[in-house]
Formats: sequence, structure tokens, C-alpha cells
Amino acid sequence: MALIVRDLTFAYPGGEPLYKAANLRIESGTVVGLTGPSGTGKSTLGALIAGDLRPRSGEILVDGLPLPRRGFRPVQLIHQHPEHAVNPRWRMRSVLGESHRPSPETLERVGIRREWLDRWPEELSGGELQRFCIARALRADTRYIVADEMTTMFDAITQAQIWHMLIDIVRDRELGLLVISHEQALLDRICDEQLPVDRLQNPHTLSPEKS
Amino acid sequence: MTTDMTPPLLSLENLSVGFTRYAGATRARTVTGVTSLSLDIAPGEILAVIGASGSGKTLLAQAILGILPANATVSGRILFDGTLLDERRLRTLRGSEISYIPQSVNNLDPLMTVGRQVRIGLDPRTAHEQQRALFSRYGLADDVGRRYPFQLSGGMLRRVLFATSVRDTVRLVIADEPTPGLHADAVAEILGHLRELSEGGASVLLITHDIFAAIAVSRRVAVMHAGRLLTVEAASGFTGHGDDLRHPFARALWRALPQNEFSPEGEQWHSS
Repeated sequence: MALIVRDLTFAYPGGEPLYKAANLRIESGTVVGLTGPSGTGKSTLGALIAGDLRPRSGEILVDGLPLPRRGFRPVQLIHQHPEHAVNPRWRMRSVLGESHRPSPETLERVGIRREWLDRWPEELSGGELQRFCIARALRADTRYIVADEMTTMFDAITQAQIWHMLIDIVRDRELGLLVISHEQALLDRICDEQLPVDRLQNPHTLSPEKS
Repeated sequence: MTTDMTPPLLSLENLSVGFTRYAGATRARTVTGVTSLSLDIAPGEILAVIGASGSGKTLLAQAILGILPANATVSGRILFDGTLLDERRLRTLRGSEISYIPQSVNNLDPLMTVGRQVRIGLDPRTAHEQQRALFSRYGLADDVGRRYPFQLSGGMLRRVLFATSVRDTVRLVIADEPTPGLHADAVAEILGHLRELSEGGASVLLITHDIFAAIAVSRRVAVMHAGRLLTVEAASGFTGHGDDLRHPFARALWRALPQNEFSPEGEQWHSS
């Protein structure tokens, strides 16, 4: 089981193509890091894999099936700024409910306290909100997660707590995880493999090299 | 360590900053941004303030500069050179003796050439000359002055921010996150500029969430969490297992770094 990107091309309107025939493979149960300077298309690739953007050509296969165009997407994107990813006028219970009702065990595992469910987004810290975004993404039919600078805004303790929690869940549920970060030490710590984004341009790169 | 004998250039005494905020449509409540913070900076010292976003470190900078939003309430005292730093004194010192290097390059005016922005506040008779001197100090070619912000790279814009803020008369520089998302070379260059300012006699308040940047240039590191100053540590304590760090939060922060133990302990600091 794997997420496979094959011969992907994409360009923003009026812009140069970011990738020509990009290839990428993420095995389920593994953590893959995407590296490269800012402005080279890391976040765009994350959004393409999650189905938030549509490629010009090429295909994205999730465990053998094309990425669905409607309905729940098996590839979930977690953003850098959780406060921009939740409705500020909903209580946290409704924010989660937009996706599903996580079991009490899942909530506990992700580190969400029961009393937070009745709070407004404003009344939680960034780290607490990000835990909600993770819980919201962890539906039973979620297969892959893209974490785009997921903990960049947090202190080191919050960062370590969130990654330990998410990676345990990824291993247990055999999910695949694509990590986008400019922090090399973090990638070295958590990734099974790392792939520089400029290697995607090379049509011969069919799987990321061992780092 | 710090020069205990010389009087501090800047003293914060019991500084608190609070806000009135609205949750939902009508529920007003007071949010505490900074709680009774006391801190001194010696002349020529680089003092680092570290903490996560939301820990209150930018509010601290804004309180010193007197540029807090209108709904903020401040209590406590700020002394500059032994004298109360009030609104009237700030008006004369801001931009001359106290300068601010803001966090974002968006603080530059997109519709004005960067040369003109650097000349703001300079004596018009010598402004061009001074601008050229600042440009050469920060490695900017003369013709860069005629360009607009959008025509420059992120690294060049950082240098322009320095050139707009630094004056010969400056005695205190407040640098708010000057190294975000930059490559190692660019970070080293910026830290070099801060070191240069301190060697020239100015004090520098370096606000950052990058512990490595903090310990590269400062001797003392103030650690903030949830609006409180928890501890001021010797930069030399951030090494090995952090056993020399006095405060448990500082140790937990150091050990949690992916470069160190990536340890998720320190749970007690995150109960709200």
C-alpha cells in the first residue's frame, strides 16, 4: 500500500511550471520528509497530494485508487497556522464534528481534554488548536497525512509532544506521513526517508532515497 | 557575566500588559499578555528573550517602544538611563536612541523606494551621505536605493530593515525575530550585525524563538512562557543535557529540541 505520484505537472496561472513529471512514493506506515529552500514548491506539492489543488497532468494514486474529486479525502493536510484552519465562530466540538466524532480514546491520545470541546478557538493556544486539527484529520478512512510546517510556530516542548503523539498513531494505524519542514534537525529526527523537492523534477526518481 | 557595577541602560520593573478582548460577539474579558516582568539590560549587552509565539515577547518589545495597540493596558515602570521612559521622552528617543528592527519585511512601505525609506528621520542635508554609509555597512549596492521592496530578495530586505533602523545615535536596539526561516548563512550574517552593534556600545534586545541564535550572540537568555518571565539563564548553560540550567522549564525546552533528546517531557508547563 502506497501513495504514488506519477508524472505530475503543475504551474500557477501565468507562472513557470513547478514540476515537470514529478514522481514520489510514500509507503504506508512510513514517514517521508520533503526538503528544499522556500519557494521551490514543497507546500504546493502537499496541497496537490491532499487534493486542494489539481495537477495539470499526471496521476495521484492512493492505495491504488485515484484521489477522489469529491467527498472525504483519504489524504489530509495539516497546516502551519491552526488558527486559520478552524472556524473562529464555532466551538471546538463543532470544529471536530465537521469531519467526524473521534472516540474518547483518540481524543485522549491526541491530548485533547474533554473540557476544551466547549471552548472557542480563541480560548485555546496554538498547540492545543493544532491537536484539534490532527484529531479532525484522523478519521477511520484517513490513509495519509501531509504535515506542512505543522509545529514551526510552537516551542520545542510542544513540538516534541505533538510529533511523538502523531508518529505513534501513524505507526499503529499504518498511515503514511509526508513532513514538510525547513528544520533539518527535526527531519533527521523523525523521518525514515528524505527527498529534496528538486529531485522530483527528475523523471527517473521513482522512490525517495534512503537518507 | 553582566557588568553588575554599571547602572543598567534599560530597566523593566513589574511590567504588565493586559488586553480587553471579545470572545464570541459580546463576552468581553481581560487577557493577560505580560505578567509582572522585571528585567535589566546593561549598556553594550546583547540580551536574548526566547519563548514560543504567544509567550508575550513581542508585547514586551511593543511596551518598551510605546507602540502597543489601543486596547492594551500597561502597568509597572520602564526606566531608560535611570529615568522614567514616558510617552514624551519616547517621542524624542524613538528612532534616534531606541530603535526597532521589526519582525516582518512587510513593515517596509511597498510604494516607496528603499533608499527613501532608509533616509526617513535623517538630517536632510546629510541624508544621502548617511544612507550610502548604511548601505555599505550592510552590503547593499548604491543602486539598490532606487528600487522598491518587491524588487529585492528576502535576504536583501532584511539588510534594508537594519539600515532603516540603525542610527549613529542608537543606544538600544530591539530586534524582533530577525532570523525567521532564513538559511544558516543569512542567520550568521544577521547575528554578526547584532554583535557589531553591541561592540559599538549599543545594547541589543534580541527577541527570538531560535535558542541557537540566542546563545550564539548573548550571554544571558531570558525565558518567557505564557506571559511570564520564568528565568534568566546563562547562555553557557544551554549545552549537553542542560544540567547547569537553573529553571526546569529551560531544561525541558533545551532537551525537547530535535538536536538534543527530542524529549516530550515538561508536561506540567502545558497545562492550562
